[in-house]
This record gives sequence, structure tokens and C-alpha cells, in this order.
Amino acid sequence: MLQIIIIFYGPGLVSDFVWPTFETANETFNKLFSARFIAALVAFVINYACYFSEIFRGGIESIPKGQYEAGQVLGIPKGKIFLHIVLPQVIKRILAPMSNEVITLVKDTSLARIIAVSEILFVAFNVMSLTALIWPLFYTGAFYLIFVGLLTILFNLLEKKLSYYKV
Amino acid sequence: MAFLEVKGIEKKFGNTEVLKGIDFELEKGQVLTIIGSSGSGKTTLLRCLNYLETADQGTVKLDGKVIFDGATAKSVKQAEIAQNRLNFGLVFQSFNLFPQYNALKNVMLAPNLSFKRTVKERKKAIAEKNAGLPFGKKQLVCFRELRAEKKAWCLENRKKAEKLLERVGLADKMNNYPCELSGGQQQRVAIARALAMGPKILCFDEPTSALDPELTGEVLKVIRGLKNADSTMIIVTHEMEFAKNVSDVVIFMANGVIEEAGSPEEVFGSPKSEKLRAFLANSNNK
Repeated sequence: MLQIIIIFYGPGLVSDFVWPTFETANETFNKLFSARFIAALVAFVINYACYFSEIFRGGIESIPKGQYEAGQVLGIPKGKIFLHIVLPQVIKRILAPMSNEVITLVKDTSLARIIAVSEILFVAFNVMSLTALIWPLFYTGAFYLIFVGLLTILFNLLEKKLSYYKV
Repeated sequence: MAFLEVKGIEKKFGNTEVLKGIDFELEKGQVLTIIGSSGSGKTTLLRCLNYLETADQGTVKLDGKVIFDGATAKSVKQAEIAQNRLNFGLVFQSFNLFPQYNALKNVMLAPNLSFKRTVKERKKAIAEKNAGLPFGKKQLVCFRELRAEKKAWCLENRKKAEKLLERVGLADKMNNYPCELSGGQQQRVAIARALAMGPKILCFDEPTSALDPELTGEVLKVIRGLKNADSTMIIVTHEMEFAKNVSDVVIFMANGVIEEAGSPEEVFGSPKSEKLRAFLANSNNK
């Protein structure tokens, strides 16, 4: 949340940088991809790139040295050792932490409302205060639940598919 | 002139000298066994031969051609090392099979991937054959022919791999993954995999150390079968009986030097050095 605030307001404070917007004829498009949206996007990309790269690093380092050596003595070039021997094993190992991170990302999108990006929770709050009804908020919760549930099922399927061998 | 000549191999890890000048020769079709207590540098020697470690000094000659020279080792290109590696096959103590592929694919993988090495020449040959075709069509024909050739190449490899697996007695386990195989079977797959690239010399790094006595038997049987097929082999082992039976030359290593070398009768029958006598007495007491 703090990162989003800093990325959206920070550049403007230290220089005269303004987050760019698309000026198109389509009104809804302009509203959807506002400067705020782009700032939130940049913040998420930077944040999650770090987490994901850390997961990948851990996965690649967890492959025993013997696998590389076995490839080397067979005369397989380095790039192919990585592509055909190491990477398939890495993917299997990092799938579980990856699924965690993806699900967290879905939930974290609600943070973007802090800079007034019109994402689902922001809109729900607006409708709620306009109509004085609790239901929009409730539906939003249900939406998150279903979305995360679907992702969980998907990743479980993938994991099952990759469990044809054990390490 | 010997088939394999190793001269003055020295290797240091930091300040500890692991190999202090190793010399030996090996004729084609012979089996060399290296025995010795743990930490005497046997494994390091094999790793140096397979370019997994770079020796600080010494030369390795194969068939009269220098394939490793400690003085110039650092400036040798990766591609050349990869090429020289194919002279040696290595079977690891801990198998190191690829868990995501089944037994057959494990054996086929390296030959299949080595297709790329010949791709440039083939491309040229195909291009010359189709020189008359217009621009777009030439590339398309080239692509198609390459793909067909690759398919044929993979099919051939598959047949070869099946034969190799039959040879190590695993014809019925071809489609099993390494996690479904016993230790002995895994090691036999590893032997087949090492044979797949057609090495001139096959090295075994304590192939039976991770196995129980029963499984050891089946692996040793395979190695004996290879000996009957006139393969040149270097075996590091702790199985004294096996070393006695199978080898033509036995080397006893201690503290990074060759303490004693000779035919198995000499080494096991009338050991000269004090260290070897103590080592053999210890291993007999077990």
C-alpha cells in the first residue's frame, strides 16, 4: 500500500513528473486506464517481480549439483542442460509457492483503491454509500472468494499433473 | 603406445593437495580398478578425467592425442571441452538420473540433443541441393527436410536406447520413472545412459556404494557383461572381491599418490607397501 502511494505521489513531489494518461475518444477507456491505474500497475509489477524472482532463485538453487554434472558428462551444452534438465524440475518445485503468490496478488489488487483506482472494492464502496445498501460489499467479497477458489482448483490440477514423478 | 596415458596430474583445493602427480597407462579393452581409502583422491581423479574439475597440472593423452593439458587448460574453449568429454562416460555414485523423464528418455536425451551439433552442416547440404528454388520456398523446404531428418534421428536413438536398456536387463522397465525403480535398477539405467553417447572409456565412480549387497550384485553383473564386450573401463570401487575378479590392472591410491600398481594377482597376492597391506587387512576383517 505504501509502495503504491509512493509510486503515485512520489515522482510528482521530487520533480515535475506526471503519470501519463491515454487521451482517446472512448470515455470509459480513459476512465479505466487512468494515470492512477498505470501507477498502481507499475507498483504491483515492481513488488511482485521481486517476490517471484526470489521464488525462482530458490527453485533453481534447490536443484542438486549432480543434475548439472550428469548433463555435462553427457556432453549437453549449458543452455540445454538448463532448458531440458533443470527447468522442468524447477517448475515442479516452485508451483506451490507460485500459487500462493498469485492468490495473494488477486487479493492485493484491492489495495489500489488507496489512490482511487476504480477497482471492484472502490466501486462497491461508492455504490454502498450512494444507495445505503450493504449488498454490494457482500457481493464483492463473494467475487473474491470465487476467484481465489477457481485459482486454487486450477493450481491443484496443475500440481496433480506434475506429480507423475517424485524427486 | 598405450590407449590412455595420464601423466603427472596434480590438483589442489585451496591449500590441500588432493592429487600429487598421478601417472598411469591403460590399454584398449582393459579394465582398471582404483582402490584406496576414502579421501585418497580417487573420485577427484575421475572428475579430472571427465572435466568436472580442472587439474592444475599434467596431461591426458587418448590414442596418442593430447586431450587435456594442465598448462593450457584455462584457455580451452567450452565447445572443445564438450567435444572431448564425449570420450569419457561417467557413472555416478548417486545415480543422478533425471527424475522428470522415464528410463528410456533418460537414455535418449543426450543423443537427441546432440542433433543440433550437426545441424549447420546439414543445412548447408540441403541449401546446396535446393539452390535453384526461390527465396521463401527454399527456407520452407530446408525446414521440412531438417524436421524429417530429426525425426529419423530420434527414432534411431530410440532403437539404440531400447537395445542398451535390454543389455542392462531392463527391457521391461523402459517406461518407468526413476522414482519407481530400485537403486540397482536406477544405477543400471545410469550405466545405459553413459553408454548412449558411445564413450571410448567408461568411468564408474563407486557405482555400488549406495546400494545394498543384493542390488550390488546385479550392477556388478552388468559391469562384467561390459568387460566381456571389450569395453575400456576405469572403476573406482570398494568391492575388493569384484576388483580382484574383473580388473586387468589395479591401482592402490593413498593420500593423492599411486602407492602401488599392477595386476590383481600382484596387488592382492603379494602387496609390497605397508599401507596397502594395512588397507587389505582392514577390508578383509569386515
